Amino acid sequence: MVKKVAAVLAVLAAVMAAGCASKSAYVNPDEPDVLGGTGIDSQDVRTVAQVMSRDLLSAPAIAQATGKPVIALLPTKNETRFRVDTDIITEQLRNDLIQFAGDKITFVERRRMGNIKEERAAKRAGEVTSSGEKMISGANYFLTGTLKSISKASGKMRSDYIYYSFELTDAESTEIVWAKGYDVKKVAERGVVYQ
Amino acid sequence: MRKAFAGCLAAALLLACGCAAQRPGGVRQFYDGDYASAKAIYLSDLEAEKESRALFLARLGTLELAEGNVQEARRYFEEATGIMENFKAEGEYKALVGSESSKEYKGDPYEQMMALWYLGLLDYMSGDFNKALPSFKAAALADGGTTDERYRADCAAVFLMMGKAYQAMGDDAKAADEFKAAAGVYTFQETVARISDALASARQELPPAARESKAAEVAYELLADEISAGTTQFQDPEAALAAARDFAFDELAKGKKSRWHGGELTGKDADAVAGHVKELYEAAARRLEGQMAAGDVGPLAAIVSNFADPSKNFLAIVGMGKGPFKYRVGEYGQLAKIGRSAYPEKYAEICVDGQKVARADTIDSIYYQASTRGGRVMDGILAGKAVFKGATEIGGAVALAEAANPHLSRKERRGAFIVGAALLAASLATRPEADVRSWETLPDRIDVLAAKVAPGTHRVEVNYTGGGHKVFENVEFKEGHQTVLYAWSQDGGAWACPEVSPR
Repeated sequence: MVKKVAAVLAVLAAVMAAGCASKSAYVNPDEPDVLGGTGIDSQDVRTVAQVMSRDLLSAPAIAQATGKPVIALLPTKNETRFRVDTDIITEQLRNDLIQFAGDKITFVERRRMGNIKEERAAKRAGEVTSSGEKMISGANYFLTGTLKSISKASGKMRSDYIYYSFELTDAESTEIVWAKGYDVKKVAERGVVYQ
Repeated sequence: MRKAFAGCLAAALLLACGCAAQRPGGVRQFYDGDYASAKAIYLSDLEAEKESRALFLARLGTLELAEGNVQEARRYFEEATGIMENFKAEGEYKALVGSESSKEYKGDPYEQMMALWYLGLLDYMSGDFNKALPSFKAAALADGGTTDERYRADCAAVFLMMGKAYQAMGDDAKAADEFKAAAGVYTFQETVARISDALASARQELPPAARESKAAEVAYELLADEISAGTTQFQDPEAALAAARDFAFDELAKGKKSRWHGGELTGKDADAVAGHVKELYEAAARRLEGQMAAGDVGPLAAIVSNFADPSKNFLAIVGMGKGPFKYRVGEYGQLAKIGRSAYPEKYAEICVDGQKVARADTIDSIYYQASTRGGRVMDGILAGKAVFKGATEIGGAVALAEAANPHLSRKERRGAFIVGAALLAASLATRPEADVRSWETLPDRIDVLAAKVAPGTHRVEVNYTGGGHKVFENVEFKEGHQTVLYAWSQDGGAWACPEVSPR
């Protein structure tokens, strides 16, 4: 009898423990997650970066360049209603470009110019050690991106059309030598108790 | 039989205990300025009431802002808006069959809008303009996110800050569009007043024969009576006037005799009145059109223009008074109504180093935003539940009375008892009461002021006429930077002068 009660209690405890345990799992970032929604997903960021980097590498300005073009990536501007860190898109794009282009392109940093200039000044003043002075590399092109959207809502539905636009601008002539867009539209329906 | 009765009673008691939903606390402590107690309650309830997490996060956000903690407030609003914006929700089925308040709190459109607006404001105060803009855009969408087109986005504070975010990002053309939208927002009262004036003036311009006849008098009264109804459809005065005219025609078509001063309104009379309605409408519409053509760019134009001026390096935003709250009405509390709290503060005057700068002007009414939310599908469901509860309650009582009828057989009485008990249990289990969880720590309205202040460290004082005052010591103003101050008339506030300067 005691054994039976103990067994039942053990099963109950196991069930309760299983019920209390928080669940987490690795999921594929290239697939939609269970949370859904109409916002910007990891899947979109990865697809955009891949599409843009492959297309950019085949652009004449890069593919037929005589030397090694120098590109400065500027922060991606977000004009959507989604509060995302756009550095994710910029950095994913840069990393894909580096991966696919090998040593065909040189990237220069423009977001940390303040720190770079401070460090250079400290080196030249002898305040810190230096391994040799160099000129700051000038960029041949600026790679810029903008996220735009058309968002609509009713009490029941919400839809978001998101347009990712990137362009490569000649840093001397201001000519746009390459541009490409990628768009996504998502619709979601609210549960009846929220309508 | 006794056992069955006792069982029913026990079930009823259990259900009744379940019905005693506890309202979230901490609001009174917040208004009393006892922030430590309010925070302790919010943090405890945050864990205990999972379905109301977003509400407590929003309340914690306003509390941290009142205490001057910009980054903490931002963190709370970030999480709260994440829940509010997510269409996935817990407890939807429970809310359908049980109490509505068992569903995950996501807030009404005005609450979602304000949470996103605060988040955008805190992003802006942190110099993160690239994040502030999306927050304000999402706020505009939340505000317009109701079933009825007539309750479209009309929050001037959102458009105003969206303009500032665009301006800070260097896009002056888009900033101008948003400032124009902010300037063009009409409040309900303003629209009613404008149409009433236009109608009264238009009537005076008509020849005596066209305004002194009985039919003309009735037409004027009819149109004037429908102005409010038209304004609930459209806030734009011209569109609201057209809607009022259509309502007047509808009334005439229904043949409302009471409007004919007790007399009979024949078909011929109705035609005459309709003719005068048309004439009056056209004259009033011409006047409104003339006002717009004469450069009337909206009721808030002067306030918006001042705030939009990029040379103004001091932006003060004041949350005035206590926010709207919800309460239940209806036999079973199946309807949620919006209430307005009283507060003594009238206006906020801002002083820098003891010198009065100006009085902040009202740009938005949160109560108005809350009370014009429109109908919900859930209201119909709750009404249906209320009818069911009432019917089962009466049916149960009738059946139980029959169970005590000595003229019936024992078998019939038992049957009546079982039916009666089942109906009463169903009635007790039906929970038609509306969800009245609300973010009561919002202000009642938003006032704004922009000014030029010399670079340096200054003492900023906000004096509330009819209320107290708040002093912000050592507020920094830097050349080429913007200092943003948020003050709340009950007590507290925060300021920031971000390193990132607007472009």
